[in-house]
Amino acid sequence: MTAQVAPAPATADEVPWSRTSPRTVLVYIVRESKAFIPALILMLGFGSQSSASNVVSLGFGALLTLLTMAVLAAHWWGRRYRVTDQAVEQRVTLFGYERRATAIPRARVRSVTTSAHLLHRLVGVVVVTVSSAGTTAIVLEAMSRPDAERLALSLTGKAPGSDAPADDPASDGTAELVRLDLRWLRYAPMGVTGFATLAALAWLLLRWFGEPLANLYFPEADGNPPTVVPDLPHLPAVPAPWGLPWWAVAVVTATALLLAATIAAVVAYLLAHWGFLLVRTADGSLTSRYGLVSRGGATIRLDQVSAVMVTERPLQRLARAATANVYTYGRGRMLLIPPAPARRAHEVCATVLGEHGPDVDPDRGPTRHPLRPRSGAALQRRLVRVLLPALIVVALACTPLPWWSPEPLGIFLVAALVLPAAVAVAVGRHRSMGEALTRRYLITRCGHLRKRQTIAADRSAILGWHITATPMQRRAGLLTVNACISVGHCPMPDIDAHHGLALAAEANPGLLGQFLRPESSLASTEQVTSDASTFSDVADKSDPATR
Amino acid sequence: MLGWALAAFYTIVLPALLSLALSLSLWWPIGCALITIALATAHVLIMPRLRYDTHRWEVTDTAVYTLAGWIKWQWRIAPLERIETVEVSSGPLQHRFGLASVYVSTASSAGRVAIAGLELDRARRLSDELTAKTRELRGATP
Repeated sequence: MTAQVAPAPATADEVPWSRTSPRTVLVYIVRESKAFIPALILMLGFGSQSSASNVVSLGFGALLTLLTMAVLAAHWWGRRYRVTDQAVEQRVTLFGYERRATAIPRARVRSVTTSAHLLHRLVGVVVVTVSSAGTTAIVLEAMSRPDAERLALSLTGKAPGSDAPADDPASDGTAELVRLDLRWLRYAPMGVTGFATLAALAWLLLRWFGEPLANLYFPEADGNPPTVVPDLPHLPAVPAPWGLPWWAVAVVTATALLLAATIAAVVAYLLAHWGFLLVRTADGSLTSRYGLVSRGGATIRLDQVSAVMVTERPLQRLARAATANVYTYGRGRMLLIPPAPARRAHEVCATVLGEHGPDVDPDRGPTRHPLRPRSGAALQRRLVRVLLPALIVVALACTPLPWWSPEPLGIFLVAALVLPAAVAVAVGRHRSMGEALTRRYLITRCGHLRKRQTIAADRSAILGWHITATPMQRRAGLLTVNACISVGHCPMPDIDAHHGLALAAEANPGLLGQFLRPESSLASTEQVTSDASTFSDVADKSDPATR
Repeated sequence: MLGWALAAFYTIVLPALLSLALSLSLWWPIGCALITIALATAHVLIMPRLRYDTHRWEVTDTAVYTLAGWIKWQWRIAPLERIETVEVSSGPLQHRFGLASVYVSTASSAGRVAIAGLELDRARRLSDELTAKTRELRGATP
């Protein structure tokens, strides 16, 4: 560390406290204003026609806005930090109270990372996270890039992400693991934004065109629209523009919205992941750089890697795409690959984990290790949990409501739509779930509709076990076994009780086993990990009868 | 157990009484309130008993283990070696009856192991014991 970049004063008391960049408040305001959009729409859409009440609601809105801005400014004002020659310190005060004081001694500083979301990039600031060797971290939101670099330099002796080669992988032992491929852009609209937009689209279309639809299919004798539930507020009827029939308007609107959603998703992908580069440096660490407007970066040490997670969103799964993250023994987390072909995501996970042990197929890696499916009892539980709400929907379809008269055809259509979908969801959930225990890793997979996550966690990273049983699970002989790791847990819902406990006992020898009664434990009789040194034996453990 | 009973009383019965007081004008809110009161009474009578019967804890040389819950049971196991903090905490209700809870956290964000409703002395001794054992285990492994 050179003298001119680290002007370390003599005593800690002399170092003044400083605040982060005032531009942070702008970020806060824009970020929080998202929460007001629904209220705004409600106000504009359903606002009453009388001008007096409009003035009142406008005044109220303005007051609320001012108050929120004041609170956000106070939030920024109350956070101060300083870097002394002994430690990095942060003090959080709110309305005069000291809420929190955190200090990380210089010797315990493990990493200084910077990140910047779109909003940060727009106002030109970065969030600096100072992580200690333990679990504490100081998050400084947000400071200008030169300030951040000065801070990182004075703490670690190097700029954040400076280990990374600028744009080409150097020859001195660094290996490029992932570089953004523009063909991956096709996976961008399949993320969560696209999915949410589709749902919003469906809702909007129903809202706007529900009445014409109802008119078309259930015309009343006098040609008036059927009576709507009087208490429900609904959007003002949209006059069909350019004299087009309502269905043409619907098609045009849907296409336009889909197009807009796609463009938004692609732009978001580009902003976040432009130039994404992941390299393994010669000194055994992983470094990533990314971002279009302002670049972010992170570095973690490979010997600190404790788990990897592959996430597949539903649409991405159809296109065989996935994204992956890596976790450390502390609370560190880093994106390994943005949405990309699933094969690449699994490969980079396998590379990052390093030595896999003898019982993992080196070609497939831990995250594609064959998993043991859940039992038939678990499938039964999935079916019950999905079919019950579905049956309630069908029962509702049989109930006469002001805007719905139950006719055999309608009921049949609803049942034909809802019941197979429910069964498909249950079977899909069941097939998503699975787990495996290898010499080195606990591998779990779970999730279906929102996202499917496969976690491969080093067995030494398991920090405890949470096991739950609801009355229905107890009846069916099932348990939910969660292996706690530094960031969340590896979930194994509805695992067979005996198998789950045996697995937990074997994954952490000497931990769970001591609490199991001999007769309830199969740990001695059922070997979860195969003793044979080939992965194929583990694959055989998955019982084909329960498929 | 008394602690849970009182907690149940404050969380369930008081809102029920409040809603009763607010709804004296119509017959159906009264019906709802009556049902709520009936359910709340059953809850106050049954839940603490079930919770008390379920709650177990054990500390061995290598791990701390708890079982809690009344409808849904939850077992939690944490290795002593990985313990980061041990906290003794006594809320106003617990304090009134000379009780305390011991919370054991590891570096995991998945939640802590809680041993609720110990006598204050017992809780303090347990906390000391856990801290000592953890230190011993950590010291033994370089």
